[in-house]
Amino acid sequence: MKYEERATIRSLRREGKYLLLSLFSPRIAREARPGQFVNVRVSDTLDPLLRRPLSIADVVGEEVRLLVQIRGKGTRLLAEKVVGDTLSLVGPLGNGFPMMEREVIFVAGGVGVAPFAWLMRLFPSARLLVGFRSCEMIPPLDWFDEKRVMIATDDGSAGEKGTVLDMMKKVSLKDKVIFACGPHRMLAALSDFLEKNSPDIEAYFSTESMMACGFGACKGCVLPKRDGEYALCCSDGPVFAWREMVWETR
Amino acid sequence: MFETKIGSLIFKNPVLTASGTWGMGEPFADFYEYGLLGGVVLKTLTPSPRKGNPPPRLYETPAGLLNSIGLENEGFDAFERRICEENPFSLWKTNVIVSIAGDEEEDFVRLSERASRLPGIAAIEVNLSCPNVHAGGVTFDARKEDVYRIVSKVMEKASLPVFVKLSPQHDLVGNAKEVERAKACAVTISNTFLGLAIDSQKKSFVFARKFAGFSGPAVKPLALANVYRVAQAVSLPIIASGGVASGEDALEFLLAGASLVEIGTMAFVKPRLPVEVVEFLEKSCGNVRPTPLP
Repeated sequence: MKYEERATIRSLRREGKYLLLSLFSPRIAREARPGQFVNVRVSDTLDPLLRRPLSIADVVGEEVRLLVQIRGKGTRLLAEKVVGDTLSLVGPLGNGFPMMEREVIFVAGGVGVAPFAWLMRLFPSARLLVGFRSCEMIPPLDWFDEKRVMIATDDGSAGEKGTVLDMMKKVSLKDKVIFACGPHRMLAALSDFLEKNSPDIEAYFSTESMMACGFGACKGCVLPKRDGEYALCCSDGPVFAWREMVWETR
Repeated sequence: MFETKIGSLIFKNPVLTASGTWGMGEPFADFYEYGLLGGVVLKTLTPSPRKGNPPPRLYETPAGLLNSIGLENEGFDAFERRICEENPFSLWKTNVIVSIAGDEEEDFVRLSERASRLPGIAAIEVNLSCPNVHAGGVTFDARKEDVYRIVSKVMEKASLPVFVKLSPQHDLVGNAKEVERAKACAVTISNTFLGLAIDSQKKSFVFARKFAGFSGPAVKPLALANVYRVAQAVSLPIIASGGVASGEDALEFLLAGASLVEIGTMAFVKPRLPVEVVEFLEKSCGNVRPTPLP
C-alpha cells in the first residue's frame, strides 16, 4: 500500500553537503522495506513542481530517516526546513532489496550509501564498501555500524586511496550476494568488474532516474533492459537483478 | 453535485483523469476509489505495442513539465484480450474512456469499432494530436479537412460516444468546428503544447526527438484561453485539459465554458488531486453548475 502522508520533521541536521532528516510518518514507516524510496514534496508551491525521490535510509519506530545530498534546487529547499515543519511524502515506493539468508556484501558510491543504514541492521555481519570522491563528500555515518564500513576515496583523503572496486578486488566473492547502490557510472563499472571476476554471482543494483510520479503513472523513468525492453525505475525497480539491465556508461 | 450529460452519458461530477497521465489505472489504485470521479481516461492505445522513446523522457521547468514518452503502450490487441478476459472496468463504478491513436487514418476507424464492442467502456477519446507516420510526422489534426474526414468515418463505425482530443499547435477553433460538424459528442481541449529543452552545457538537445510535450500548471492560462475561444465558437461540449492544480483551477475552466475538466500532470505530484477537486466543487457549487462567463 502506498500513501500520501503529511510527515512532521522530528530532527534535522545539516552537515557539509548532507542533510539527515527524521520524519514522523507512521503509515509509510509501517509499510516500508529496505531499498524503497519516498517521493518528497520539498515545497508546497509550484516551483519546483515535481517531488524529489529520496532513498529511505532507515525506519525507526514511526520515523522514516533520510540521508540527503544537497545538490540542486529541490534539496537546497529541503535543507532550509526546520524541526516541526511538515512535508508531504508519497511512499513507500519501489520494490526494495530482496531479503535472504545469505552472506551479503554492500557496495555503495557517494550518497548511494543511504539505504545501507537499515540493511546493515538487518544483515548484522555484512560489510559495507563505499567510495567517495574525497573526505568532504563523506556524510555523517551515525546511523551506520561504522566498524563494518570500509571507505575508499579517489584522492586518498580518507580511508583507502582508490575506488570501491579497488576494495572489491581484496574481498572474496565466493558464495556471496552483492547489494549495490550508487551513481550509474559506478554501477556500470561494478557490472564490468563482476562480468570479469565473478560472472555467475547474484547481485542487485539500486538505480536512480529523473521521475515525475514515482509510482508508475508517468512512464518517464525508463531504464534499458538487456532484452531490449524498458523497465520503469520507480515501480519495476529501483532495485534490479544486475543481469537484467544494461549498465553501459550513459 | 451537479451532473453533466454528454450524449447518452451521465457524469456524476465534472472531474476526469487525463489520458497519458493515469496509465491504465493501476498506478492510482492505492490513492482513491475511481468511483469518486466523473470518469477516467486511459493511456492512448495504438494498433501495435509501442516501446516508447529512449530516456531521458522528462524535463522539469518552473511549474511545468516536458515529456517525450512516445505513446508507450501495450497495443490494442493485448488490451482487448485482457479486457475481454478480466472485464475489470465494471468494478470501477465510473465512466471509463478509452483513448486511441493510429499510425494511419484507417486505424482510428478500426480501433473505434473494436473499442465499442469491449465490456465496461463508456466512451472513446480519439487522440488526433499524435503524429501521422504517412504524413511526415505532422499530427492528424494539422489540416481541418482531415479532422472532418477522420471523425466522420469514426462516427460511422463507433457505437459509443466519441470525444476528439486536439493539439493546441493547430487552429483549435477551426478544428473544433470540424469535430462538431462531424457530429462527435465532445472535444477535448487540449493535448500538450510543443516545447523544447536544450542543455547549454553539453550544447545539445535534451530529448532524442528534440521537441516534447509541455504540460503542468504553467500552461493553464494558455489552456483557459483556448477553452474560452472554442466555447465561444461551438455548442459542442468541451472537455478541458491543461494545468489544473487545484479546485479553483477546475472551476475557472467551467467558467470558461468547459463541461468537464481533466486532471493530468499535477496528479503526479498530488495523486489524490482529482478527488480533492471533486470535494472542492461539491462545496463551492453543490447542485448548481456554474454559469459560463459570456
